Amino acid sequence: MVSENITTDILILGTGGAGLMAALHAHWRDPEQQVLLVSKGMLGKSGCTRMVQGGYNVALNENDSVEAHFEDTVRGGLFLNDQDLARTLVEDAPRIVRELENRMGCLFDRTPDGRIHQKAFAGQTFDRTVHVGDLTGIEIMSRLRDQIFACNIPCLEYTRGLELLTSSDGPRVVGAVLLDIQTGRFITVRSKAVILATGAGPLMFQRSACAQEKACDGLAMAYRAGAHLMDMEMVQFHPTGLVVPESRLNGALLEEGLRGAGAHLFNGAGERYMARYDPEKMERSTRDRVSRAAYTEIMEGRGTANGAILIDVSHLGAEFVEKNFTGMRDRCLLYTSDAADE
Amino acid sequence: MLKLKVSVQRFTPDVDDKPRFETHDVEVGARASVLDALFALQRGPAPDLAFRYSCRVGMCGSCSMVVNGREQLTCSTLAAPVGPDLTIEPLRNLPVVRDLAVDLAPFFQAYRKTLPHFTPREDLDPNELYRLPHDSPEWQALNHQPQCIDCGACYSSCTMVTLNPRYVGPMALHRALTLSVDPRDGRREERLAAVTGEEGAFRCHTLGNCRDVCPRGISPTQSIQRLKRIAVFEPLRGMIRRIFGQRNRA
Repeated sequence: MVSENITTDILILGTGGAGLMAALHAHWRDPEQQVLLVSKGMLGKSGCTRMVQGGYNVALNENDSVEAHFEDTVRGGLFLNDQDLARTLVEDAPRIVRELENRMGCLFDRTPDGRIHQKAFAGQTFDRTVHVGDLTGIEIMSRLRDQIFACNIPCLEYTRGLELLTSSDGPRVVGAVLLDIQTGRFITVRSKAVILATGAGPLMFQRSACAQEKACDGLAMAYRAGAHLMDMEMVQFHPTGLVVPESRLNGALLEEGLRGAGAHLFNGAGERYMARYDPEKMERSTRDRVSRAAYTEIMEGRGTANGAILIDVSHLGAEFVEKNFTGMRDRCLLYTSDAADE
Repeated sequence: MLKLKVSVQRFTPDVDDKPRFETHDVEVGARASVLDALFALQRGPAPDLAFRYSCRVGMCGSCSMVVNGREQLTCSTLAAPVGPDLTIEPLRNLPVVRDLAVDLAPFFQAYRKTLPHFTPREDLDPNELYRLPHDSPEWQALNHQPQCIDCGACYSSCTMVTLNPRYVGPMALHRALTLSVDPRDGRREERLAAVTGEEGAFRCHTLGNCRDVCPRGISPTQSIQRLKRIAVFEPLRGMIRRIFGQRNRA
């Protein structure tokens, strides 16, 4: 069996937005430190950051506030959130968006007067989603990848993490064993630090919106190495996705902004069922409620023939949908018609 | 259900002398994509067939192949309209890793020659978001074409790349234009010098293959033509800038 040994300073498993940001910041902090990226797919093309359609919530407008964003976040989470983490998220967001624009080179959409455009997302009391059309992730990942190129940070592509290596004297991670998928060769990496940026494991479910690399590898490796995993029941499902019978397109995302813009959800009987679950906010309720409502409808036999529900944007007007959700419209036209099945 | 006759190119470089075609009958759903047909092959008669994909929804640009002679993003191409006979080959102008998977390294190496990363202008405040009103010349000069997903279809279809592998190709030039007309970027002159030489924009003979096959509806040809125009007028602009001290962008 052929194998290879590599020594580096910082080993980063995963090349979505988190992995690439970690690599760039490590490199910029101290270019002497060797950073090695490992991707299960291709650099810049794998993972879910790339698949973000809608955009990111951030308080930028003078009439909005970090406090309001925080409140929306914990209310949306029914106060189950780890509030310190939620606080970090909303407080860092304005800084990170500026970094993405001014250092990485992302160019988010602008309003006619030239400021960053922020659109409506469900569960938010203020329109605070920055975006690039309805294909925000492509812009972010391409620009991050270009910066990785500029820094000459090496990346092992098509290489899967198998096991974290721990020191014999205690629970300290000192590297990892990897598998080169294209050659079947094992690679042992020794490193001072290992960053896991491998995402979660949505592929364990029959339908998921995610990229096909996300199979829980990182969490499982960490668990086997002795890490404690917490809040494992908190799996986020994006509430709306496209169902195409007998196709791998199962679950392909229909973005949040559709409900933000006023899309309606109907069950198999043609009822706007959100009235039963959140009569006040209806379809603009938070993701968890909309997901659970759809699940309940389908499980109780009120789904469509495909075992799905319907999302309807026809009343928003063809022109509005075409202008604001071009990517989504193209995908739906390919497979179905105006109203796509969930 | 849809019955398809699928011919796929099989080739393992270290083992086979040359590529060969293998033909199988498969059944897929009525609205199956070409990628679904490949999954059907893998689940049935050709379990060791190698191909590449990730997102399934036309965003990652991993699954482009040559379908019935034309570059296509297989996840976003329905099998029915191009079937029932499908011939699937790997992208051209790139070395085959195995079967339908190509090594995109030369494609990205070419891209890396064009200074593809953003470098902020030194006079900009990193805490301010750049104002770009829609009626400003700066906004109008931006490359407003759809976003590129670097799938490699244009590079595969470009006969100039075939004739001269040192030519950086349509995707790299299209993206070079995008950055060159971005008013926030500080390395415009350097980039223009890098992409308007013999291996850059002026190698393009405007055949338009890239425009015809781009799954995102981009016309790299148009971007390259604009780069050529900028390159021709840039020395003039430089002179005007030196004389009048103005910032002047295409």
